[in-house]
Amino acid sequence: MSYKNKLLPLLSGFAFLLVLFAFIRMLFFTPVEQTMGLVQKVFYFHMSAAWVGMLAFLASAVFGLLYLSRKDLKWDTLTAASVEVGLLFTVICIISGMIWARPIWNTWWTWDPRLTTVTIMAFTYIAFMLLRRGVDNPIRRARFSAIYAIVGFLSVPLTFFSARLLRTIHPVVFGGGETDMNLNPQMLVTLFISLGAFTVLYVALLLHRARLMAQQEELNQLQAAADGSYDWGA
Amino acid sequence: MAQTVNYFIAGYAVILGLLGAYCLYLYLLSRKLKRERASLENKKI
Repeated sequence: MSYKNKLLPLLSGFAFLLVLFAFIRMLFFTPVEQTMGLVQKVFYFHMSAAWVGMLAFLASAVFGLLYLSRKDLKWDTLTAASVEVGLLFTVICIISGMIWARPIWNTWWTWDPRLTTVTIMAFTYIAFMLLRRGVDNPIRRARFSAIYAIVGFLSVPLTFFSARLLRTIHPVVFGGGETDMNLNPQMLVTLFISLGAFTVLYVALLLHRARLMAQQEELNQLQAAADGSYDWGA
Repeated sequence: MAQTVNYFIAGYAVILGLLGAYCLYLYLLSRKLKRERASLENKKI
């Protein structure tokens, strides 16, 4: 499988510019929240990272389904790449959330339903990556990864709805009723730009990672073939 | 207004730092794979 595409460098450049634009807009053109002060601005990239993490896990489940139905290893590569990139964004979300929580909740961490479920979600996908490494046969590994990605996706709606259905101190941006964060229009525009920028960044990172995974697999096969021919010749 | 500028800086340092570190990891991995491939092709010759 080859992900060589002339559009990928363009997409990467576009993602970089979008993130830069979102950062500049957040820094200079978005008002400072009166109660929390500057730390509230961490929220724009924090929520974008949370969104992309969940999107990546959804995508990995879809790629898993595609692998099971078509038996093409390119979907397995995309499943693994999407989980890795999703995990990166989930870790960013958790750490940035802790930094926000310290001055606002007066603690780095609390076992609130949202924080607990997001931790379960992160560990679900850390386990995916560790277990995947333990399977050598590519077909068995692909089948295992596809099924794990589909079942593991259950942790995503659990995380998403935890702040809406359970008693929590975690703020809800949309659909939380009385607990909604009341963002003014300028803040909302910055939030949507950040969400868009992170989504494009996710696609670019996913394609880069999948390309490298495919190259690694190809190299492993070449190495095995070379070793095999050497042994045979000897 | 609460004085939370240090936490704001720390938050963005973590976000941009982790993203930058991952991009660097992908770049170094890409270079390593190219090097290994070249070395394998040299062996074949």
